[in-house]
Parts: sequence; structure tokens; C-alpha cells
Amino acid sequence: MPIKMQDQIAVENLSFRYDGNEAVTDVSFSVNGGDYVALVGHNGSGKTTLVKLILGILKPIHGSISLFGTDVSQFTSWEKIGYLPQNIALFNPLLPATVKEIVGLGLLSGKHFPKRLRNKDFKKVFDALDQLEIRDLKDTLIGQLSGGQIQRALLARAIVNNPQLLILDEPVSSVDSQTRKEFFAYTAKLNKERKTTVILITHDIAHSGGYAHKLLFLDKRIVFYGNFGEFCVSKKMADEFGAELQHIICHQHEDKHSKFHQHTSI
Amino acid sequence: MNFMEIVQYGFIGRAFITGVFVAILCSTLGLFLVLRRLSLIGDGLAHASLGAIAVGLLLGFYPIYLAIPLVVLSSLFILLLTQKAKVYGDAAIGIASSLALGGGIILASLAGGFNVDLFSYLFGNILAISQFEMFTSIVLSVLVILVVYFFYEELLSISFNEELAHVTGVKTGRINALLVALTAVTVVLSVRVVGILLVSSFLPRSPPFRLPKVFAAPYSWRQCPQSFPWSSASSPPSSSIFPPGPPSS
Repeated sequence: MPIKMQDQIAVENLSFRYDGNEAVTDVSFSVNGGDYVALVGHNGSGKTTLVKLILGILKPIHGSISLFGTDVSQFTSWEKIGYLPQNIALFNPLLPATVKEIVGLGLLSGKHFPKRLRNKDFKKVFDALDQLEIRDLKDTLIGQLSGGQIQRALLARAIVNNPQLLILDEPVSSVDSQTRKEFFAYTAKLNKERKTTVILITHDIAHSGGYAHKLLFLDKRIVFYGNFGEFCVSKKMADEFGAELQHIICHQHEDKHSKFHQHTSI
Repeated sequence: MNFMEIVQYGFIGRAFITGVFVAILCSTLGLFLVLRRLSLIGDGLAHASLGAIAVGLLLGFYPIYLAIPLVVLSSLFILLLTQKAKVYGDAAIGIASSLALGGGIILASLAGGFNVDLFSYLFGNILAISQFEMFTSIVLSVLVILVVYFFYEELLSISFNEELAHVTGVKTGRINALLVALTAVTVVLSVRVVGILLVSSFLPRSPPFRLPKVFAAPYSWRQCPQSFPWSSASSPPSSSIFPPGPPSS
């Protein structure tokens, strides 16, 4: 698959196994700049594995991945990418670092030796904290935050460098429904106003359909990848989700997008 | 006899200076080891140093000089086991230390003649510190402090989460290797001071509630919000959406 100039992610024939267990098989797709892709699939379908492969955290057994036209193994422009991982429980809650320090660590990408944070960096940190309205938590130890607050702090960390590509792995799994809606709306706003490419792993396909442009349905292999227009007329997706859920997702998508366009046109 | 009179004795002065610098070394590195859940690595490497010292005595080298590269290799072996073979850190430390300790005892038994020397390393002898060892501890302390200064944010980043650190361009493998290699050198130097049996007690296993001030210190001189020129100028962007909530502590 030839890499087009606008491809921020190009994945070709990607496969990965955990101790012989197939996790991702022969996956090929590309993501263009400005896309908002909802990556969905059942538990164990390989969504998180795929993201970790894209980010070079895992090494594929077969296939190639390029980020912004560079093979992931050679990629160094990490300031272009913001990442919010799935399992906040894996963070070391005993780390005696404050929220502003953790958010500031997102600025290490793009720095050369010595990678030290300077005063001007903390302006960006406070701007990110302001955007998520958690500036009052800036001096709170990260281990003292609730699950939702940690998610906000880590989202602030992901956006602090104003990335071109934002990858969010189930960011709303531990927050209430109101925060979830606001979270989706915020990512849509980033996508719309800053042209930030968003890849969102979620189980909440009904709500994500309201904001994403494209849907990637993964079940170790790609079952469906396309825009919502294609999704809504796909017989295969109707069989997968049921015609009723497919209709709800499509309705959410049309409804949110018409409201968003009305809102932004005022 | 007051303190100044006591330290005028050369061996006391060297013991005092070396002890202070070894303490600085251990406490600085120990902070990150505890947070990386490698607090037992001091124990493991101390045991490994016994084997390395035995090799040195057998071959007729000054044991400490040979122990430094061998224990650094042991520390990298532990890292390799945890990262490549997916062995848990405590198990990897156990494997490396048992191998080295067993090897050391076999060598000591085979050679027969240096058991007394070897056992003197078990308990150390701070009053027998040479001038060279004292200067080595000073140089290494300065080196460790410089490394921690220049790599502070990267060490903090891998202590928080390695995957996130990787995605911000931190060379996690190199930083981990640097941390354990410095720990290995520190352990070997500490063996002369407190001995193999006690060296791990120099590396803190303190509960982290004692640590916030230590982490806050490097920031305090440059992060006074009132002094920021933008503190009053920055206005929340229009995308402020999440309602702030109180900490759940």
C-alpha cells in the first residue's frame, strides 16, 4: 500500500501474537490528517494491541507501520503524538509527583539533551490544565486524584504539546455519563478546530458515533473500516450489531453532526 | 576529644567522608529504585558482588576493580530478564544473585586460601578505606547527582509509566540500564564500607509518603506561580468543559 502524503498512520499487513495466541492478523489501513476514527471491537479483539503496535510499544512479528511517513522504529517526532493509555490502575499511585509535574512530562518529546522542563514549559502546562479546568489540582499529588480526575490530568498531558495526532485508549471507561459526553465533545472540538487527528478506542459505539467520522471495527482482523455513510448501509455491520443498533448509531452520528455544524456556524 | 580532633586521624577522616558520600549515592538512587519497584536490587547485587570478589581474589586482582564490571553485568542481566524474558523483578533479582553467590562460594571452596579475605567483605571495614576509594566515592557521587539532574524528568517519567515515557521519546531501555548500572557501581563501593550483608540497608525502602519533598525540591526554586508573568494574563480558553472536582483523598 503506497503511503500518501496526508497519511499520518499507514499500517500494512500487520500481525502480532502473544505467546502464540493471535492478537492482530494481517491488518492494513491508513489514517489521514484530520480524521476522527472510532476504533471499536469486542474485548480481546486486539484494539489496545493495535495501538501499542502503532506507537512502537510492541514490535510486530510481521508487517510495517509508518507514522507521518517514517517507519515507527525510526520515528522520533513524538511531539506530534498525544497518547492516553487504557489502564490507569497500572500507574504507580505511590509516585509523589504533582499533577503539573506529570502533565509537564508530556513536553519531554521534542526536547533534546538535557530534557529538562523550563519555566516557559509550565505556561503550556497551565494552559492545558485550564482547558480541562483542573488548574486547582496542579499541586495535588497524582496518587490523591480520583479516577476521573486522573483521566483529565492524563488528557491534559496528552494535549499539552498540541499534538497533531491524539490516540485515546478507552478514556471514558471510569467516568460518569456527563463527563463522558463532555469528553467526546472536547475531542470533537480539538478535531474540528485544531484539525487534530483523533483515534478513539471505545466500547461506547453509540456515543462515539456522534463525533467520529470513521469507524474501524476490529476482531483481530479488520471487519469494517470506513465512514459512517458506508457503515449505515453495510449489511455486514447490520448483521454484526443488529439493524436496530446500527440505526441508533447512524442516527446519533447524523444528529450530533448537524448540531455541531449548526453550533459552529452561529 | 572533640569531633574535629577525631577526624584529623586520616583513617577516620576517610571513613567519615566516604560514609557520607556513599549515603548520598544510595539515598539518591534508592528513591528511583523504590518507585521502579526494584528496591531489592541492592540485596541481589550485593550477593552478586560476593561472587565477583571471589573471582577477583582467585585471579589475583584487586577484588573491587573486578567486581565493578561484573556486578554491572549482573545488573544488566537482571534488567534483561525482566524486559526480554518477562520475569518479574523480584524473581530476576533472585536468579542473578543466587547464580553469582553460588558461583562465588564454589570458587572460594576451590581456591581454599582466601576465605578469610572473602569473609571480611561480608561485614566491610570502613576504617580501612583507602584514599583512592574515598576519591572514587566522591567522584561517583558527583556523577550520580549530575546524572539525576540531567535525566531527572526522564527518570520521573519511567517511574510513572514506561509506556507513556516511550511515547514522549524517552529511551526507556537506556534510562533503565543507566539506573541499574549506577546502582551496581554504588553497591560495590558500599561493600567496602558496610559489607555485603548490610549494603542493601543503605538503599532506602522507605514508604513513599516520605518522598514528596524530595521530588518537589528540584521544582521549588523555579516554580513559584506568583512570579510567573503569565499567571495573571492567561485566561481559560473557550474549551473549558470539565467541571472541577475536589481531590478524592
